[in-house]
Amino acid sequence: MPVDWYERDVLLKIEGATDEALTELAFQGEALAKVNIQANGQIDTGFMLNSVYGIGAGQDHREQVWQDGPYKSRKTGEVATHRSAPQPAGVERGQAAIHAAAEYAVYLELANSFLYRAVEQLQEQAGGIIEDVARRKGL
Amino acid sequence: MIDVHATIRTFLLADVDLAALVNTRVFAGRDVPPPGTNPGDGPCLTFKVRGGAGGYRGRDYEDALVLPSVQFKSYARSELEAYTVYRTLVDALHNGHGASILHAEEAGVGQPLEEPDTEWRFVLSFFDVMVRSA
Repeated sequence: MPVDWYERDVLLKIEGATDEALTELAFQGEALAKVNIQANGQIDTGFMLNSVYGIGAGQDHREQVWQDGPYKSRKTGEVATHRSAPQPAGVERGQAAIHAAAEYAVYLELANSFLYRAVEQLQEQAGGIIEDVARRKGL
Repeated sequence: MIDVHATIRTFLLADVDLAALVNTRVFAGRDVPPPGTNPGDGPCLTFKVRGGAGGYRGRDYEDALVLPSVQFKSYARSELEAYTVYRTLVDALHNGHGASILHAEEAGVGQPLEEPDTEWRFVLSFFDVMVRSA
């Protein structure tokens, strides 16, 4: 069953951040979510891991998402067709998002959170990331 | 430290309307109902903390107050019945307070879903809860 699942907590609003900082936040959130998926032992075909991408200010890593198609389970050897949900609409200027596009990602998130946890981790790192960008910009 | 799961379960079971629907089938700290439980035999609720406690939001008050984000799944025989359980949960918990719950607030609107393996119908919802030492 394809699931489009959006949640306000997944969108981390950083007021006053530059586009560059937002993009860095999005991509760092993507990295954190992927690390959490590995730490949670939630990799079987690798499709979900490679369906996670960040959406920053006018930039995203959607092109890295694996194509829809049949994938073989490392655990059972069975082959199943996996699909990604389309990119979410409504990520506006001044926002960043992390999208776990695999259509079954919500069930693994509910069983053992990788995405919400990533957003919490990102909240703790956000100040440092914004400071880094500001320093590089000479602000 | 405050036992968040036990506190929330006690709070929910004290709600007459919710208890009338799910009886004592409120399963704390779980994603899915335990083995031997089938939502086809009667509605039930599962919930678990997914984060929040111990983060920066709770650091100033960690001994007396924790602020978890809690995931709820309202199960029943049908999607409509699951939605009834969910609405009753919202009535019980949203803006709720008591001796041990300082405040609770729903985060977003519940979403009907289906378990991929068992095809059980449920409504997914999340609440931010402020739990304090009673």
